[in-house]
Amino acid sequence: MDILSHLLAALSPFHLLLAVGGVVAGTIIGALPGLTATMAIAVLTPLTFGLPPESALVALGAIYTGGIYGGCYAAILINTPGTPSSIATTFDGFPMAKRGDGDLALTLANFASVCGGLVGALSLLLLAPPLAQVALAFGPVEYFWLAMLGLTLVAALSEGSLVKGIIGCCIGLMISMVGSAIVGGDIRFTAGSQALLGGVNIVVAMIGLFCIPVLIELVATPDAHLKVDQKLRGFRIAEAVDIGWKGKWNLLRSSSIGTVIGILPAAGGAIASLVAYAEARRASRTPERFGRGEPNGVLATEAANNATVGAGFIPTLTLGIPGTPPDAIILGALLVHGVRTGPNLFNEQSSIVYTFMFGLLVATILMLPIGLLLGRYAFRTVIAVPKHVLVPMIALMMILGTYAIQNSLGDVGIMLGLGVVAWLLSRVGFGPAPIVLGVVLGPIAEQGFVQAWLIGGATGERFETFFMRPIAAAIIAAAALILLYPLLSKRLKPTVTDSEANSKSE
Amino acid sequence: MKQIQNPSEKLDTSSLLTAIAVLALSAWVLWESESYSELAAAFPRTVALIMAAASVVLIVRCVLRLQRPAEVEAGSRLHRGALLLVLVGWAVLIPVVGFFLASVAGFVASALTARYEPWSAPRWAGLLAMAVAAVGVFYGLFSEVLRVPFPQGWLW
Repeated sequence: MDILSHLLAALSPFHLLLAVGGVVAGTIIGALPGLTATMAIAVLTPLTFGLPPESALVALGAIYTGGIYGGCYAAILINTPGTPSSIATTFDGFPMAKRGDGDLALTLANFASVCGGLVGALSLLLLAPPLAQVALAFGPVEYFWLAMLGLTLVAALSEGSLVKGIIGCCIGLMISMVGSAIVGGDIRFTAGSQALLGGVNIVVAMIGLFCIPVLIELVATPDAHLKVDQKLRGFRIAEAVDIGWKGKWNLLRSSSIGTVIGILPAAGGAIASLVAYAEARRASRTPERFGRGEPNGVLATEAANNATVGAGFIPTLTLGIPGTPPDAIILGALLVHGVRTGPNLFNEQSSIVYTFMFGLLVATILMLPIGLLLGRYAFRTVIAVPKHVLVPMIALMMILGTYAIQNSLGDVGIMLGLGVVAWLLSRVGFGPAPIVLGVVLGPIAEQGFVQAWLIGGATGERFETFFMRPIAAAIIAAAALILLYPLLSKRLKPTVTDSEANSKSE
Repeated sequence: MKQIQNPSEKLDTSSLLTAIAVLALSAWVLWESESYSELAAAFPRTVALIMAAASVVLIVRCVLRLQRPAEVEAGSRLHRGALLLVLVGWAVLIPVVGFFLASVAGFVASALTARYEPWSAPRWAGLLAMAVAAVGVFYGLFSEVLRVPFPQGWLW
């Protein structure tokens, strides 16, 4: 009965209103390049201080889930991830939009986000205490190998040349090392520039590497930005449902990957969506279509990044360890409201926690109609707006968003510099995706590697530390499978064909 | 429209030059990391060595004519170059004339780089009004609601 009362509390008109407002605000902010879900929550958190704790949590959860989802709009329509979580959505979302399937890509992203969000929120509701133990089982070695697993994606992202993909990824890793060293504190590769002392912010790098090349190519011709049919085809829901149903295992697998990675502190939606994308490509019968507008790529990345929302709350609420940066801000808001996180939270303040969990579920479900409507509006706007309006608007958001991250003009310069380099490299066949992969995964890989190296050195068991821990071994096996699967499948295919041929002849 | 060069006939000079530049970057990273502590230098050195090896492979592929040149999007170099100059000018102007004025100027100039038809007087007026409105709305939102402190410059 208690559970039912919490569900009814989450469905109260006031909480429904907060959920709708939160999802709309989060989606719009997340859709604008430079304005992330973290920023949306940071800015809007003070507005919730006057609310009861459970209502504040419902509003913040809705903003968070909307913010992560909203990132897909810019990723699909202008090849610029609205948030780091939607980096991998650009890989197939934008090619779909370019060939005239932008509306379908947005509807698929909406379905996948709702599906992933529900899996993450249900995991939070039903499995929070046992899943929290997963977070504790991950040490530096596991983080290092998780980053390595993400880096295997470079093979999939290398457009035409694996060597160029590897070089691009290394350039990204080098960019991630600029500034103060994670372990040791040495100042590295700043060339005496004060603007580089704090390193290169991921969002700044992301905007520069993705957005500037797109903007430059936008002005290169008078042709339309996206190919569109003469007749708009609505939401294309039936088509999207059909694709979603055929990709149901991909959705479920990607949502599960998002949930597990979301639980890990500091991993977050960007890594979850990259790993889910790599796994979806490996499991696909047509991996060669990934990166060229494969709908399953969009399904995988959007399901995974939204699953991290609910999952990120698991260590936040049960252990007091935030899973993602937005969780850290929400944890601070909880403390302001007098909510003490930890194992006893579920017994001592169950009404707050369960109302919030049901509220997150409700907000995720509300994202379906709200997202479809906003997505349709965004799509029509981007295809209707002429280039001489679209280009300055994107440029304005790019400069404004970059500056607002740390109130730094130095960041604007870094963004422009990286953008010009990315554009020049793209002319020579180096895509931006491997570079961004290196920027995102570099800090996690380095920190995990150096810490594990120190631990191994102190215990005198470096090899055992790196290779013999069960979770690390499982991740190594998964990475090896992703790398070697294409070779193995090529070797196995003729055998299957031969046997089929034999059986037919018999 | 794509312009694809025949890989068997022509050396992929741009990839070759990029690979040489990347090799030089790797050497600089290795040299620079000599001054860092062991912990801070371990990861950059590893990445630099991988990057150097990959660039050597790319150089060899280019020299042996095995590297297929990248597909290059056709389009106006003038418009591309103009936009690049506008973006750099926009960033340079911000601390001088302030965020608002620099952004209005940048907005108008970047719109011009994307326009291929001639502009009439009413269109000029419309563009200027749109620039002031768009920059004004976002400037107001960020400075008043989100409390982002913008550089003022010597104008505004």
